[in-house]
Amino acid sequence: MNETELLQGTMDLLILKAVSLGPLHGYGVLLRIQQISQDKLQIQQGSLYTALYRLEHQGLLTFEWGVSDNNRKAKFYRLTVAGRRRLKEELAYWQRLSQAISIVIAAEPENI
Amino acid sequence: MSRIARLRSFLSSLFLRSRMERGMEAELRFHVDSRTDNLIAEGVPAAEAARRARTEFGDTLRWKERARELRGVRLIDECRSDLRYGLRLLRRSSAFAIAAILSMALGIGANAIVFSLVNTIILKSLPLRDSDQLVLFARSRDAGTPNQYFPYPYYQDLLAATDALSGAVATCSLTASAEIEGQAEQVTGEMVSGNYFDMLGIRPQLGRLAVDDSSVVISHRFWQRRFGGDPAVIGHTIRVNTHALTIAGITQPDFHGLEPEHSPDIRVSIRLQPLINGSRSRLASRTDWCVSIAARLKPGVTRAQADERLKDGFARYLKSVDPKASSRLMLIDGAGGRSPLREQFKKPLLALVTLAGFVLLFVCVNVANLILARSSAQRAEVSMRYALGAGVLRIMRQSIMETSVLAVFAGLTSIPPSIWGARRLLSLIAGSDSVLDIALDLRVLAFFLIVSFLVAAICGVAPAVYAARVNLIDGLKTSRQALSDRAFVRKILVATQIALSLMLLVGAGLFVRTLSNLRTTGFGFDTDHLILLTIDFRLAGAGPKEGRLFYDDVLSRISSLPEIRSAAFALLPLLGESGWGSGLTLDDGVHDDAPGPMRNAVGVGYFRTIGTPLRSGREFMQSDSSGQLVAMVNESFARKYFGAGSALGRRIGPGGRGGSADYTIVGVTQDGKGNGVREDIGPVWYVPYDQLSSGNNRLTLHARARGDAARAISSVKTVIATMDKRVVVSGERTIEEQIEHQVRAERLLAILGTFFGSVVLLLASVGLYGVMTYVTSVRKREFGIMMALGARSHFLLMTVLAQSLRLIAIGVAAGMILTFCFFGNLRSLLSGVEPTDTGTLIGSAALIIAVTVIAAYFPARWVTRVDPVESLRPE
Repeated sequence: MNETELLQGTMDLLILKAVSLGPLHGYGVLLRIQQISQDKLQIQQGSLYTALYRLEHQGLLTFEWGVSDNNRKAKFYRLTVAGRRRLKEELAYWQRLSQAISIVIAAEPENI
Repeated sequence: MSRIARLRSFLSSLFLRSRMERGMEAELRFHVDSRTDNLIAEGVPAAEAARRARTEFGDTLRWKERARELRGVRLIDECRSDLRYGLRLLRRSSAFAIAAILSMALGIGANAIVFSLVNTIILKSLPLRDSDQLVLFARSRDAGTPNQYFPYPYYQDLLAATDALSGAVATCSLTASAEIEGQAEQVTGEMVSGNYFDMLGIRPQLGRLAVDDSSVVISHRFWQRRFGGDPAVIGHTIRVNTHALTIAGITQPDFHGLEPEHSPDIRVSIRLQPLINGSRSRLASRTDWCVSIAARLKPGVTRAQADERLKDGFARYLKSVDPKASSRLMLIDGAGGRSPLREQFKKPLLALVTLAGFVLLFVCVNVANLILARSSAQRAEVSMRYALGAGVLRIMRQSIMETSVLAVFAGLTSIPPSIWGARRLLSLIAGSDSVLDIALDLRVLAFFLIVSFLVAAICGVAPAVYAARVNLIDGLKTSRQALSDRAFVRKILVATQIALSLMLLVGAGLFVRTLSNLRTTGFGFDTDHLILLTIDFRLAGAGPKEGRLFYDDVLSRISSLPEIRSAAFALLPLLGESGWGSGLTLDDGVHDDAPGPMRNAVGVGYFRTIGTPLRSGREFMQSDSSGQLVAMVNESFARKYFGAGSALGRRIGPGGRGGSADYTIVGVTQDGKGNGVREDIGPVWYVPYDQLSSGNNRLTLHARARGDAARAISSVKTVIATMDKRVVVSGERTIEEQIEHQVRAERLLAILGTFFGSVVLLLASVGLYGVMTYVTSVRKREFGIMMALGARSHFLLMTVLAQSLRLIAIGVAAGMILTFCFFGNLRSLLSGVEPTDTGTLIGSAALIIAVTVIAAYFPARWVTRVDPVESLRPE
């Protein structure tokens, strides 16, 4: 199995990204992350909720109660304006960081 | 943005708590259910799917707790559960709770009483606009008491000092006779400068607040009392010292002027002073120090800056009137107004604050002791909670939460009685005509709150710290070692209580003795059934001759009353807090400049009436009024001016230029108290009032009543009322009432001191009883063994008693040391007794020992009834 431990702080980014594609309930967030990452990322289910609550507490996510596909009452999360802004910042940061890292690891001796 | 979001989320989870919990619950269930569905869809059997879904999720409780913590509600949760737990504990041991609450309530109440008095007398500001801008003018020479009187021309100069002040008012107090609808009565009043109401920012209740040459403003109180609140009174005419004035307006009910404790009935223009006083104008004189000045600082100017800007002006003024004078100007904070009560009670109240603080400390010790005394089950419970992993802080918090519950109850219980008590004390010390009242204002409420939580914190921390120190296993086993450890701590606490109560009892004893000293010793006259009434005949506009006839008439009518044994007039009343000096000239040419020795003018039979014995010679007689000028002196006078020689036959007279020794001394009286109960009389000379050249148509009747003094006073008043409607009778009182008025500060100290002392003595003996019961129960087995081995019960009794006595002795010794350390600066509040008075110390110690030994005796007696077999049974 391809398990990759999550870098600290990336959980928020993943959740914000997942929710930005459309309102989701907690379980849906889990499924979507797994689906997009093609099961490369494993998320501890309980800690997902801690993160969700934290983001909600910070005003980045808001929610409403609705009915899920399997006809159950579920809590659907949406991005707030602040959440959208945060997602953009986080993405920009992540891209800068991953670019920098790929440059570093792509470095060959003769280029130095 | 995010801060607001967080706050909103915190508040919604705090107040919409159950909704949040339900939501969390539903969401987690949804998750697990959906996961189960998916697993079933993948072909996992239903039961197995549900189990796997739950395991994958992990500990739901833990995640929920994390979520709560995240929202910041966990602390509140815990406090809430501590509170619930605390309440449960208290319900379970209600005897403990009641004892602790009562004890705390006494401590909080004692402090609240003192604080309400301090608040009302010292801290409260006048109900005026921007009262913090107000300053009072005073002048002082060196370190002397500041004098607050200035000449009117200086006030007029001040009005030009606009760089420091935005306004200033001059006032001058007034006791006048007012004739309203043909009926005369004495009123209190104030002569004020024309800008008075404007500068203070007062609005009328009715009419206009204007004082001019023909108008008068009356107070709300006077309006209610004298006119029954009739609005038609505006425009009415009243005669103030025969001068007709129209009532222009009425002030508002909460306005009393610049003195917080008195509310003058009327205010008239200061320009009317010569008319109203019936004398030359005092306002024109540059050296007549007769007005008080209050001013408002210019916005942005501090008191120190104003002082700086005004002091040269004052020095210049002073130089112009008296080149030798050396006093300097002082601006006093005027927010609280001019309050003699504040000056008089500052020190006694400070002493009471200290004593009340000791009572509070005592109560904290007492409650801490009670907490330790609670059942061992309780103690096992604390150890159990430790064992289950509760942190020290958590246990401490729980303990404080529990004492907080107690303290809140105690604080609430103590509010009504302490406000009631403070009101009673205030009316006792300020007099019934005072307008001061104890208010339950924000400051007092804040005080209750702060003191309650202070008590809670002190009481709660101590046992928790102690609990935290004790070994867990010991606690669980309730081992004997742990028990006697705890007994040791409790003994220390009890000894502390005894020490503190000794100290408070000594305080009470000193104050009570001071009071009784002032009340009883060395007046130099007989206080029994002696009544005083001031009879003012000035309103009748009569000359000295008519006045003399009138007073003779009064005297002969009063003397024939069955309620009066004897009566005489004097210019200055006994213990009257006023003096008259006119210098002195002796027959050998020696002068004493004014004021010189005090002087008084008295009538025939004055000394016989007040019961002052003669040392030699005779009293004034009826025949003196037409004969040669005569005088009497007291012993101090004779000793000071004539030494060992006889005073009789010597001649004296007023001093100053043109003074000559025309009065022949015919009698010498015994000394006594002078202007007040605290002062010895000093040298005094007396002349017959009907030999005075200028008429003194305001004399005080001194009469010895037969039977009820109050009835005698009212008979005298009736007699005078039938004689002349224009006569004003005032200040009717017994000399005892006069004395009580003068010892009011000492009375306050004695009452509160005794209250504090008895409270702590009671609590200390209950505390000792509790501890000794506990100690003996811990040693029960030991006593059982001793008994089984043949010890006499008498011997056991002594063993236990000796233990208590040791405790008592340590406490008493510590208390003595405390007393020596803290009571040195009480000296200025005492009279006739030293702070370290041996008698008081020994008496207090004896009282404590007696009470505590009785308290310790009962648990000791219990030992003698121990059944050896019963006590040796395993626990």
